[in-house]
Amino acid sequence: MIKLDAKNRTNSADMGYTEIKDPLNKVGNFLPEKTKIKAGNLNFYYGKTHTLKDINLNIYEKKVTAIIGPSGCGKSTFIRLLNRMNDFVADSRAEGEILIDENNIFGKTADPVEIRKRVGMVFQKPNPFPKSIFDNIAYGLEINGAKDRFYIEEKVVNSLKKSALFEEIRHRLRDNALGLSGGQQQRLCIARCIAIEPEIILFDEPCASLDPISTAKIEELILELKKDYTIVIVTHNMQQALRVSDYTAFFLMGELIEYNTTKKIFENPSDRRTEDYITGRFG
Amino acid sequence: MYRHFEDELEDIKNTILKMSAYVEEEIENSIKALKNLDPELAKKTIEKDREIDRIEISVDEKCAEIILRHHPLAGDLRFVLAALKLNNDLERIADLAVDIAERTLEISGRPPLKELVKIPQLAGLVKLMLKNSVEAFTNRDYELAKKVILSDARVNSIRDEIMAELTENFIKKDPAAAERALALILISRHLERIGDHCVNIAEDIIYMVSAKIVKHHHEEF
Repeated sequence: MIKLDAKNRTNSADMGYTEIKDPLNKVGNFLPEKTKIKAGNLNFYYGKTHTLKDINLNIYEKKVTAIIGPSGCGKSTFIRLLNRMNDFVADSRAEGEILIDENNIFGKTADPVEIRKRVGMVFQKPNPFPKSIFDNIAYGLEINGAKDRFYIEEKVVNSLKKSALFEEIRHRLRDNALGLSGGQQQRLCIARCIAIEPEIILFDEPCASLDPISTAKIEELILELKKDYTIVIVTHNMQQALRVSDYTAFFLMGELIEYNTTKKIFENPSDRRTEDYITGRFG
Repeated sequence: MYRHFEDELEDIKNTILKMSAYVEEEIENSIKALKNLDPELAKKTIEKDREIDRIEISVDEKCAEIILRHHPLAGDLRFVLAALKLNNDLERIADLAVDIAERTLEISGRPPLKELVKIPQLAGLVKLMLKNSVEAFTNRDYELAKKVILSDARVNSIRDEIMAELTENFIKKDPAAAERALALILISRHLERIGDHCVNIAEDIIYMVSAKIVKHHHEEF
């Protein structure tokens, strides 16, 4: 279970976040970004293994932030902390803080269930419930207290439209979701996530098991969704990070090595280790 | 970790270096042909351009294939982008050497207008710019690329001096000499354009080395 080390928790103003002074690297229009998530002096341990080391990172509202790095670098651990998924990991411990809209999600009054409503997650492997397409989405609404059938139907249809799936399955809403293709199942999982009206969506390698056409649809969807949501995506696919993200963070062995606009990271990274990783020289 | 991709990047670099050696030789020969009013050497210069055109196409193909297969990023991407542009500038420089050779052929059967002093001086300067550009490319030398860009002002000023002198002393005074004087003016213009292409190359090297875009605003150095 998560244990917070109160001694190590510091005031957000003192934490020395990774600030980006020139987000668009002089080429393009400078737009000051609004911070949605602030990770400050964030450390995470699985037992004695120090998995995340002093992470300071601002994630900007209604932008797509890609987290890249080799396997085991801590990127999935990091995004799982953003909605307290790691609460379920035995013998684990987090230190430091994560602020969403300035509220510490590890604070004493923070409710993990409420946090997970605000911060939805889509996983590598599509994981629809073995229920109808309709019920996959309605289920989450119902356990969140929705009872009105018309309200639920409207929400289901709108979520399916937003996830660019409705036109393909409009006559099959009562069919079992497991009969959908992998790409459709993944978009159903996104619809399920959107129905709860989160503010942030976390994608953990959402296209890893999909073909190029389904991948393109998910990527288009991510670009569409960022109009309304703050998105964080973990990906091993450099081209995908380039196509969909505004900002990129490079993690290595639990450390945040570099964080900047995606253009800067992939055109002219400041750290040799970032360059070695993205150009395949690593290791 | 060894990458086969490195061999392909190295191959592009070596092909560009081979091409630049040919281009330097083209400038050298075109000026030698002009000084000696040697039509045979001028023709040889024109023929050699075909080989440079072939190399240009091969570099384009290699770069396109690397982009297609490897999706280069960061320093690799900047290298391939710079190589593509350099390739184009080198080919254009060779075309300008051909233009000089063609002007030489136009005036080669006639007596020399005057002893050439400033045109060889201008040619020497642009040859040095080209040599330095290629060296900056080979050694990823930001400062040398900067030096190339800064030397362009001197090239422009010599070109202006040549034009003024030929206009005043020949075109205005002696209509019979106008055609030959005009050919020399055009040659000074071709040499000045070679200098401009060297500046383009140097700008691309600065981008390759530092990701800085200094084109059209050299105050960004």
